[in-house]
Amino acid sequence: MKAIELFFDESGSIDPDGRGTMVVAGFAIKADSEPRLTQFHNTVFAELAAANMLAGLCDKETRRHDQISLPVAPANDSTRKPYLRKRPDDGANDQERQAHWRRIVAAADKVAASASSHNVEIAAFAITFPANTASPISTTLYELETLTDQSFLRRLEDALEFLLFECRFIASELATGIELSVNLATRAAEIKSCDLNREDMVKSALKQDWGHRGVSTAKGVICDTLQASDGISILASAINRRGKLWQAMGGHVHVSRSCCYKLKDWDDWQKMRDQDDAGVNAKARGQKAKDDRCKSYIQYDLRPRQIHYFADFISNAVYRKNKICDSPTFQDWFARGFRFDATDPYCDAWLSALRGYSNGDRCGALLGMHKDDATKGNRANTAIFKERTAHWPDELSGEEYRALFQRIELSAGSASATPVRTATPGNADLLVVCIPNLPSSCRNISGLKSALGTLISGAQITLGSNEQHGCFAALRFDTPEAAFQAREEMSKSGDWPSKAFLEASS
Amino acid sequence: MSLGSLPAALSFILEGTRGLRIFDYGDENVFRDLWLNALESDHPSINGENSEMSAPEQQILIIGNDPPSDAFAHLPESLRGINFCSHFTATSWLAAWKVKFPKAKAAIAVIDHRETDLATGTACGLQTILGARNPSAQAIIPRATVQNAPSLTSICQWLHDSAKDTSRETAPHHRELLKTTIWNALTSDRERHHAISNVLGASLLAEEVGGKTSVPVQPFLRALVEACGIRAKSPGGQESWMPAQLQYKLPAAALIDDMSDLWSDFVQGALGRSVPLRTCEKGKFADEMKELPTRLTKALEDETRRTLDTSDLFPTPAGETATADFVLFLDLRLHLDDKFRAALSKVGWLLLQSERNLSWLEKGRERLESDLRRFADTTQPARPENPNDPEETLLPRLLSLIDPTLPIVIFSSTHSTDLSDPFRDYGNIITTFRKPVLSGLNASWAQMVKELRANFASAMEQASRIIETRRLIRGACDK
Repeated sequence: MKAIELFFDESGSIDPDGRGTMVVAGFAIKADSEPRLTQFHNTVFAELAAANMLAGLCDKETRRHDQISLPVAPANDSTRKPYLRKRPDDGANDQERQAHWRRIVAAADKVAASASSHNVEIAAFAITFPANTASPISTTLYELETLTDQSFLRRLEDALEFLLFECRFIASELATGIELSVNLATRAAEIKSCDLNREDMVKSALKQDWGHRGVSTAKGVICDTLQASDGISILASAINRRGKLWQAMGGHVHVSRSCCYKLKDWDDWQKMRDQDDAGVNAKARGQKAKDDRCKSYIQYDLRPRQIHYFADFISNAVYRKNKICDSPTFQDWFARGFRFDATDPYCDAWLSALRGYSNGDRCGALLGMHKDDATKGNRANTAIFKERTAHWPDELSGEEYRALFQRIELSAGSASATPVRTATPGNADLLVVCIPNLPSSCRNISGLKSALGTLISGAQITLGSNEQHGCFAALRFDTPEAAFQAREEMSKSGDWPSKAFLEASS
Repeated sequence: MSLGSLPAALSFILEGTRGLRIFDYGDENVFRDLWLNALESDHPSINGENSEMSAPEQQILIIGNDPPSDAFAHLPESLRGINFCSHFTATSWLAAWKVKFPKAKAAIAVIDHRETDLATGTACGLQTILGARNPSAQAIIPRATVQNAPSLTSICQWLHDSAKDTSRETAPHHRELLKTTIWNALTSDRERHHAISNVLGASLLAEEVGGKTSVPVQPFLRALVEACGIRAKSPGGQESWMPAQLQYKLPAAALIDDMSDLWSDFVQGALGRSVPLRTCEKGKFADEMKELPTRLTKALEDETRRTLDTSDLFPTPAGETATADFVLFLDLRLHLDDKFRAALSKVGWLLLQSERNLSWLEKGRERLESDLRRFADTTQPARPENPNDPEETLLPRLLSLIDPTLPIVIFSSTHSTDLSDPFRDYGNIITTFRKPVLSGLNASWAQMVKELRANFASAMEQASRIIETRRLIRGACDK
């Protein structure tokens, strides 16, 4: 069974009032079997270590926190850090920044070479989205929307869903069966500058209503939103979005792991250790080492694969629009994955359509796109999505085509144009009228019937609905002439069903 | 005696007879004036001279019954199989005139040099009515007769008798009888392809939508049907049949009809002038369509293409842009030869063997296969024209399968349910609107037009929805 591991990280931060962007990115690795992936990880670790390119702590380190030390600089080059730094220094000049990114590309080249030698494939992905993405859940206190991090989690699920079900790199393997491992990154959401009273209120509501624990800091309130065990619920949410498809696959996918890992790069580790040494984080100065953060991290937190740090590099490069994304290695990885911009307002409509289609509502998917004008989206995004939709016309059944023809709206305001369908042969006194804008589940049928009665006199009205035509009214007149006359009247007043519906609703 | 010398001889003999005029029906000017002037006014100009048709002393001998030999000689290809002459005999004119001017006092005789039983078609029926007499031995249609191979004596006798019979008018029910006879002759046999009712429908409807067919026979037809009480709108109006809410929803249209010369004016007018209409070049229908199977094969072999454009249906000169979104008006009976039929059958097999999504064939695959096997057999002798033959439905079915989002309006005068049945499974074939069937005069023309217009609007709404879907799928799925 093939084995696939996914690695995620993000860059940027949610800001309900801001206009910036955020990125969820990462990569997937695929091999013929899980042991082969394990060998690959071992090789990557060994090669990066040999090249002084380890990025941070990982599962290969010892369990003794006091024995973990920073990689040592080579004797002949003491100016360069003997590891891959997460970011260049704040005061770094252009040359230093470029050198930083070059090292990351060099490390990625090593990973690519190792992948090649182990027959492992790599695909990168990235979704850029607006930092002010709306939370799907509205909370009583607006701060809670940020602290519960729903906006970000929604996007994270978007990325995981798209990766699993729309990225050919993985989707093509799902039917035959895979061993899946999902490696997310832990995360904390933060709000700034609450006044004291409000801060307590926010923390209290966070705990009472959402089961989260907010921690006050000098800057505001911080709350862990993705912890180690949250990986499975995120994966489950993403899979549930494609419930029908997942069921149809008949359990071929075996999930071996889904966790959130704390990425602790070397600079961060060093900083934490310095703080521990100074006793900054101890409850009381000189207290036992069990309170040290370093020890806590090593003992209680899950440590990531070394390669997971590349998810951070990728997301950061995409977030900063860094040119390393154009390097041959990254381009090659992205070519197997995807990269799109969800700041495009039409992007969500595409994602929703893809979801609807794979869940079996093919007409609904297309009609939703039509309603939202999804095809007006930016060209780069559209090209990516069209890769996924190109086969749709080859799968639509005759019934689905018919349903599309019936249900499609010509344009806003004219959906009810010429609502009269044909009088059936031999039933010239009968008119069947489709009411396209009316949901088939309209509850106020008697109201609608009465409203129709005021608009159309002299007809016996029967209302009905079905999947194909939506709501319809069968109008039987005393004579074919009366039916003909009514049809003429209706043709002149194209929006009468809407009027009827409005009257019925009121 | 040759017909050419008969008018001259009679003129010589009857010269000086007061109020008598003798017209040679074989003369093109006379023919034109009788149909286009004399049915419009009771003092028309005929052959350069005014005639007073309301005056009791006016007597007219029309020599000859058949139209001039050149009258319908220069018709477009699509009209060549139609026997216009039988509808425009002098007898028909006389009947039409009697219907139009029941109180006119002029006495008119058609002098046909042939024996009675040589008269055929409309002339035969009308001649019977014109020759009929009431129990008092008076002609039921006063002061009008058709005389076959008459002697000079009988002509003079008629001139004498009709001069005295000036008080009677044509009874209303006799006018109705004449009218019905003319109309029935025009509209009978409407299922036959080369029936005049096809021409009539096109001509009348073109005028309804402010168009005018460029067919030379139109003014004569118009005169004849107006005598029957059917008055189309005056030419010059610009009234499209497209409902306001569908304006601009249909970007273009195409018409495949071997009589497109006739029907294109109506279709264009009904759609509105802003909708470009692609048809075959005049007189080149067979030439342009014979390569249709080849063009369709090419489109089928291109696996990247899911839809057809106008260049797949019509030859497209270099530099001319093909249109992708259009509604196709398709006649069923195209009268293309067996070779075309066999080539189309090959297209059908190619389609069935392709990887394409044949959405409409979820049930009807066997039926199509059976039809294709039958049509591929070119050794079968040419069959007589049969409007109910499913062969006629093959082209629309194939086009519908190749391109399931191309709206195809069956634009046929065939109203047989046998023909709409094969289309039941094909969701993009629209059978709501068809060419009109002109039948009995009981239903009013206005009512028929009203109904046609409503059906047209309904068909165009269906077509607009299909095109909207087509655009949606292209926007959503075409790379």
